[in-house]
Amino acid sequence: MAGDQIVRIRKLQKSYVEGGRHHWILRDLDWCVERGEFVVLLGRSGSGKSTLLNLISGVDLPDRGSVEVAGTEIGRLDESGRTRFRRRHIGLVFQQFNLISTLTVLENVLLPLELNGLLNGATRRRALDLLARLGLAGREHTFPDRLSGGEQQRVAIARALIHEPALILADEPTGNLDLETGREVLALLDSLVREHGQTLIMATHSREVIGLADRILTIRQGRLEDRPG
Amino acid sequence: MKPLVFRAGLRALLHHPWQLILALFGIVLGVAVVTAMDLAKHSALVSFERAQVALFGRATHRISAPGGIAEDWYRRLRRQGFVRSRPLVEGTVRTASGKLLKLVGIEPLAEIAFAPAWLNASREMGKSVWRRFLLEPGTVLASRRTAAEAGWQIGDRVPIRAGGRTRTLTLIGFYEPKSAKAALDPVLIADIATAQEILGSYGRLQAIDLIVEDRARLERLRRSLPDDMELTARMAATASVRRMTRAFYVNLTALSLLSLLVGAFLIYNTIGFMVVQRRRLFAILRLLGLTRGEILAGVLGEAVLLGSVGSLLGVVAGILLGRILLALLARTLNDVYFPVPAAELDIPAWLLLKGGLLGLGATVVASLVPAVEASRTRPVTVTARSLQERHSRRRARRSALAGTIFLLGGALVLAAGEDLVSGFVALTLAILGCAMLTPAIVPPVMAVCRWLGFRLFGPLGAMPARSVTASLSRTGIAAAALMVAVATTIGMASMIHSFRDSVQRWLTRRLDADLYVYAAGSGERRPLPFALGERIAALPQVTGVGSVRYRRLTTEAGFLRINAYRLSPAAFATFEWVERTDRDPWQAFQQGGVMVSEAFARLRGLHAGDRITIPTPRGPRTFSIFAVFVDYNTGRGIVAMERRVYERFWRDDRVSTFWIYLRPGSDAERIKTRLAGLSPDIPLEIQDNRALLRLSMRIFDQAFAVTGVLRWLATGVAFVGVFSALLALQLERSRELGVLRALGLTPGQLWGQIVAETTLLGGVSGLVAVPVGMLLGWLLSEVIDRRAFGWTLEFGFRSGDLLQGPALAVAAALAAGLYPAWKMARTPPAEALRCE
Ligand SMILES: Nc1ncnc2c1ncn2[C@@H]1O[C@H](COP(=O)(O)OP(=O)(O)O)[C@@H](O)[C@H]1O
Ligand SMILES: [Mg+2]
Repeated sequence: MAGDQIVRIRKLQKSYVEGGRHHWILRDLDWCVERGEFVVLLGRSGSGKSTLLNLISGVDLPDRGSVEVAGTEIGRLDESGRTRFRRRHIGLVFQQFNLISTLTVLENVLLPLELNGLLNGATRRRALDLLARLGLAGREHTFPDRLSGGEQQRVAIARALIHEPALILADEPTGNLDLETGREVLALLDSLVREHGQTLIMATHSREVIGLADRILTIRQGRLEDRPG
Repeated sequence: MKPLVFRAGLRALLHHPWQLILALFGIVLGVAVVTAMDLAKHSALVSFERAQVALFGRATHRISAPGGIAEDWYRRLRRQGFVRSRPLVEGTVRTASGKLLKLVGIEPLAEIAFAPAWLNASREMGKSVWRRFLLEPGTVLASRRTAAEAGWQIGDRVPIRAGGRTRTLTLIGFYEPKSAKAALDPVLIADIATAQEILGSYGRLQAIDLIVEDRARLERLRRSLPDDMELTARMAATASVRRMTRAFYVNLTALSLLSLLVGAFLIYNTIGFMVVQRRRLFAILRLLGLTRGEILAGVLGEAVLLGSVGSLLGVVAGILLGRILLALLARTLNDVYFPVPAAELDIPAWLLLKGGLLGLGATVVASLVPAVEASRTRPVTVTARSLQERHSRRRARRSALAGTIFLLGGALVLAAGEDLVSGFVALTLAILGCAMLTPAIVPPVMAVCRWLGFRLFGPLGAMPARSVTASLSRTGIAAAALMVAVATTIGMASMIHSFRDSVQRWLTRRLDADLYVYAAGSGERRPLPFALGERIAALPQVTGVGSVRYRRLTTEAGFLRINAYRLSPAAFATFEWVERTDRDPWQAFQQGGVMVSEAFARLRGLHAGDRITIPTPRGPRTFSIFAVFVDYNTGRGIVAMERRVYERFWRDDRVSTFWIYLRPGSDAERIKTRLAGLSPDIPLEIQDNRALLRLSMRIFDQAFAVTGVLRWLATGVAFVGVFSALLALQLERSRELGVLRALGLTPGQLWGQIVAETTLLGGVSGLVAVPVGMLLGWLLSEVIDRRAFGWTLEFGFRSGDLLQGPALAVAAALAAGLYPAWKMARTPPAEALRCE
């Protein structure tokens, strides 16, 4: 049923101009993601995974085609509209963590609540609970540069989930972590997302996640292939 | 602004507190200079006005004459029914220690109708003092301050010198209550007979003040007065002082605003840096959903905060600086324009508010570009630095294009209008335009330096220049800020010095005689009889005599001065023409034509060949202007004519100044003694031309003392600007430098790199500042001297002023290189690598 599709992509095209020549990254891509799904995007480095995620989050715009998230067509919104849409409906996790170094762990997590005007006593408690569940109790007032990579990524996950967005986009969240730590982080992310029935799209080139995912796709030469590469 | 977001930004800023402090310093200094200048100018006028009220009380009009008025006039006026009138004698005297004081002689009973402030205050001193003052000759009143400074006590017999004689007076009381503002300082008040005796002006008054409301009566009175007596409204005194000082004040305002502009560039530089440093933060915030508008508002919010704190401190500093400037300004105004009694800083709230708002406004405007840039930060995961720098090259080119447009716009505005405002607009556009051009100049210059460095020192030698170009987003801003700061000081210095040199050249040319003779005394001098000239000419050794009579006229269009000359063709040839008709000037001059000063021509829109109508005692007369001459006298313009022409209309047989040519090798000292003997009743002042030149230049220098201080303040702001820009640049690179250390650069080599880099950047900015400074100097002189004062200068440059620019930049660059170099050399490489 169409109502259950949180992401709908039609005829998506994206290219970069380099040295006067069009360099195609995505061509005529059609794709849908069901609500509550955990989808893994595989593909070699440089295949366009980040580009696709950026188009879904509205950080970047396609050359042609449309992206619809939760019934809203991203391309129809203006810059400010896209930004507001993103901060309300999408949670982001990155390879480089991208925590704000001048905010404490707790403050980093509270930031999306503040941006959405949801910051109050209750949500603050929820943030503390979430941090505790992620094994960060007692580190709330530490600054990110005092944390290990795994801890930093767990803070980033808390930040992506705290305002309960319907869609979470994770771009190689384990790329900067050792194998064991990466596995732990993935398990946590998986269980938290499933608990709340949220949708997770994760780009990665590691095959560690395959066991956890509902669906696996591979980007190859600008197209999506519905099977593991 | 969202508190957490604000906190994130603020904490990032507080990582570099010195940077905030330097930005604050820029705002504080800029606001302080503007506020101080405003306060000083305002206070000088206010204290002049207060002194007028204190001295004149309710007087509505004053009758005065350049050589004074015969005492009979006072009695005659009273007989005619002008009972609310009072006589006034004024002169300058010295105390035993040589301090100059003004002595005012009054008729105590006549004063009552005028209720001047000093009289009201003196009631406090009690009846017995008042009675003594009325009845006892040789008594005098002083202000507490004057008495305290001279070490006088009530009852003391105080010696007073005037005209070479000493008289002893008795100080019987103070004319002001303890709390009064010393608006009258330094003035002694005596009764009229005492004052006349001391000043040697028996039977003569300086002025007669009147209270008259009936305009018809005033008109009748005006007509009944002889030519040389003038009836002026008292309010006109204040108005004319305002008019007289307008050009001078414009000059000060322009220079203080320039200081603020330099301060604004400092702010621009700092805010720009603060944005560049936090690009990563902004990118993450954009990813998390902060809109462009929110980022823009955030950065502007910071600027408002910074601007408010800085402006507040600046206003406070301005009050302190204002006291110093006022002291200097008061001296200048005293010498050149009008008496400023012991000036106290008057601090009206609106001036403080104006200074504060200007500072805040400048901060916000200076932050606009960086704020917009911050808001443009793309949310796509933090882009690589090299990509940013590629952008910054493009930006530098775009900014150069905009700069060119600004410069062209400035040229258009300058050409379009003749007024002051368009001059200022053009000046501002020129500064902004040049600043925008600067970043584009950096890469090519650095390319040359890189090549040179490589040739001389190998790969390590090429590195400093490369790294300046590699971080153009930061170095470009710094170079622009630096350049403006340095160029401004060059421009100011060139303007002031061209002005001084022009005046000196002009004076040297015009003062071609050997001796100059005029009546001794200060203020409006008494004229000498024209016949004295014949007696002087008859002296042995004297080969020629010339003379001029100065007359001040009040017309509907303002003051003007008539100079009536009697001079030889050779002396006439010392006049230089701004423009003239085809007629031979000497012939035209002899045949009844007039020439006008450049300032006057400009003020009234007159040209050679035009006609001018001047009110004369025989009714308005029209003269044809055969030339406009170069003249650097301040204030009112001059209409010069041959003495015969003047005498025809004014019937005046007096002369203000004689000049005398001597046979070469004459004994000037002996002639001076003989000259003094020729005028037993009016003491003469005799100056040789060199002394007169020195005297004139001293007055000039005093007039420009305040300007000089402003110039040094701007230089101070510039130094701080250069220093902070380069310091920021280096401290920003700790990590990069840490990598170099890790790669094996010795602390000494690192030190060399850093200092070479700041010096390169300082040097290139300092060099660009030279032509820009010349342009600014020329524009300043166009705006201030030509458009405000009405003088065209022979504009020129002193190599010292030009060299001062690069020297300043390099000195500041070296200073700015020292601290980071020292810090980095002391930091273990591992530490530097860790910090981000
Ligand atoms: N801003 C850009 N300009 C030019 N090329 C880009 C830009 N961003 C990405 N690319 C190119 O697009 C391709 C896909 O990049 P990306 O989506 O980051 O791949 P992935 O995330 O799968 O490693 C790469 O070849 C990359 O070089
Ligand atoms: Mg990627």
